[in-house]
Amino acid sequence: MKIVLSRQDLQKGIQTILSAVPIKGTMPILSNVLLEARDTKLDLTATDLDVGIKCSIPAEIVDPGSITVNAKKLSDICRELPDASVDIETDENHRVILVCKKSQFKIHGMAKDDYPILPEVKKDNPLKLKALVLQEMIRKTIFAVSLDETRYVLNGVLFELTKDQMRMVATDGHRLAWVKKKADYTKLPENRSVIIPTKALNEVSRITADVFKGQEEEAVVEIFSTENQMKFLMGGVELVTRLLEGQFPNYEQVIPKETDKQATMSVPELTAATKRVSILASDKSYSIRFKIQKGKITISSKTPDMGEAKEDLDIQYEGEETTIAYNAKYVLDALKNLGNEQVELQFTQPLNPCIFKSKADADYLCVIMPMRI
Amino acid sequence: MQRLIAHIDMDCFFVSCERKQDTTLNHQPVVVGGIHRRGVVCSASYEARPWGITAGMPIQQAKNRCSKLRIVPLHPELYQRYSRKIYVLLKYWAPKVEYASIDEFYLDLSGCEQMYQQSPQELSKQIQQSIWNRTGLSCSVAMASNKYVAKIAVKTVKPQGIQYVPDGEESRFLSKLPIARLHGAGPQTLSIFQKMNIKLIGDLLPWSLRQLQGHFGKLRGQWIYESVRGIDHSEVQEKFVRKSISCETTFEEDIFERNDIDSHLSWLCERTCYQLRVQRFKTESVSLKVRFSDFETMIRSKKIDATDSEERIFKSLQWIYQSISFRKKIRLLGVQLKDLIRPTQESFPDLEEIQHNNLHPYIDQIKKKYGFSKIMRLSSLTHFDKKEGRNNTTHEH
Repeated sequence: MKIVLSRQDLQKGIQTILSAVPIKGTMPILSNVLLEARDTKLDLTATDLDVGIKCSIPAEIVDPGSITVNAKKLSDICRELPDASVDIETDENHRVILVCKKSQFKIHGMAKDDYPILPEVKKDNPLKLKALVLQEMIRKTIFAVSLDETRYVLNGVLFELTKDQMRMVATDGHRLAWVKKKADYTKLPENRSVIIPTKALNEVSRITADVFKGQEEEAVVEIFSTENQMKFLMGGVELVTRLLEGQFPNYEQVIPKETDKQATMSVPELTAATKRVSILASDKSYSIRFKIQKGKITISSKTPDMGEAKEDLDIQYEGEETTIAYNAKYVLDALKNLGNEQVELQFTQPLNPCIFKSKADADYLCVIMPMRI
Repeated sequence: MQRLIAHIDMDCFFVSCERKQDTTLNHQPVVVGGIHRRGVVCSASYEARPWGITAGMPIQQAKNRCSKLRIVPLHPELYQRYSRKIYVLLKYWAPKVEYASIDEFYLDLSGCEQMYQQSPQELSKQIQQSIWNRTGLSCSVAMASNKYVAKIAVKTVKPQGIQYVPDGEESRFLSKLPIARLHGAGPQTLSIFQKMNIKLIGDLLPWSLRQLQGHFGKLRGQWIYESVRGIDHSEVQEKFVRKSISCETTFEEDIFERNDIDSHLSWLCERTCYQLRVQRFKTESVSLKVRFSDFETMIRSKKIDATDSEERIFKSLQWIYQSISFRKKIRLLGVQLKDLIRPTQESFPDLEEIQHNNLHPYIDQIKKKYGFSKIMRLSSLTHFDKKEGRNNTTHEH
């Protein structure tokens, strides 16, 4: 293999795929990036066997071929090189010789043969989604995913498709985030309910933001899926992820159908007050209290050895006085995605779930379980 | 204020309790422990010690050493009953009593000297006598200005002894003791001391803090520096804070099959989770201990979301188990639940394992009323059947 390409293109390509390289793993070859030179481009592929990313960069192909080489080292070298063209050549001992101006590197690579092939995901009937919509849905749900690896099905976001709706749902057992969007696909894809791992969705968000920079409005992501794989096509970058197996819990059961109390308040005011009051919340539980009265909410916190804080806000509320405690982090995570308008808290009893919902957007809600006082 | 801390250490506690139940054991070489082939000695009477029988020794080995040895199985509930009795009694003597273990207690008597108007030695004798009068069990008592010195001092006068190390005399007292008496120094540290030709605790006194830290690392060096000088600022903890719940089983015969392993894990999980729920805790960390036939031991832990559900904890144990790769037979399996909390954060009730979580209160009630093994998971039954037949040893903490 012998190619010539610009340092910027090479660095951009490596940066795109680098996060798929496992930090530590049992298979040494997974620390490598697969380089494949053909036609007028160089394909770069990295995978940790759960998520794989492949991108193409323009290159002058003198001699087509392929090799795998340590991704981290290649990235470090590329970052330090001067802005000039880079010559990459391989020899029969799988050594990669990289030359840029007067710098020369010889890196021991490995043959392509042992590198895992990214799973084939059929390319018909893709679901086409606006990149901005997809990013928004991910942002609004991903924070609620469980980090407990033993709760396997909760380590991802549920992606559901119905005839006219797309929904994403995530929960860690204490809170739940739910978002829906109107769908306008021509044909309903076969795979209508899948659990996508968090890592894949984080990567999709990052890659779409990078690839479609400056053209976000028109950008479209194509999604293909099989029973246990899903592929996201974002411009020239493709990401293939394994889907999480198992049954996502029946989340509809935890979204209260009826609530007898509603309090409405300003999102920025509630956010600022919660941030201030939570400074004196206990480090362990991060618990704050909402005392909701007619026309007023008092947010308070207390740490036995430290002190206490409280703040009043004017709100719209006509129901009976109720005091509920929440984890301040959960409240702030929910408020962050509720825009800058009014938030409506819908609740019943102090130990029952509470819905945090934007007045302006009926397509998004968070459900938070309270804390015992 | 000058501190006065007493350490009460019951003399061969399990054996003494058994002797209260069966007087034929008096003046006989007796051990309490697992009675089967792989059992170990938990407590040995002073009459058995001349044969070199000590706690931790395999029962079989103890039997070989002394043909007259009487072996008594463990009766944890009996020991707990006596332990509680002693604790209640000690509460009359001191405002702060720490329940250090089933047979060890710390008393904070600081400021009580005026009230008792007695020397520490006389006071120790009175405490010792009151325990004897109330329970018929003997103990050793040591008093010092801190817990650490009192703990070491009591070991020097067992059984039925009394020791007092006056304030300011700690370093001198410790310096004459063999280095193996340095409480908290494990086999690894002791072997380093041996290489350094350190025989007495006092041999470490010329070493500066910096030298010790250079040799043993920052924290360990600091600990050794303070320990050899008898410096300890820790308080007598009145409230018993449970830090973990654990249970482990040594198998009569080593196991290898995955089904067997799962069954034993299920049983251990059921056992620990029952305790967890009875004590109204939830755990945030699960540990699995595996000892192989060649005695290599592995302990692996996993952080999890707070739970008391057997299903969740069993899944976590399987998750840990799968991450350990080995091809050896297993001698012992143990489960420890750590980071115990009484959570205030509510969870969604309907998300996972709803049926199981609803059943737990009823199952726990049946266990409490009729005994743990009267109702159990089908997956634990293999363990239980084999345990009955094969006399596996189980220890709970």
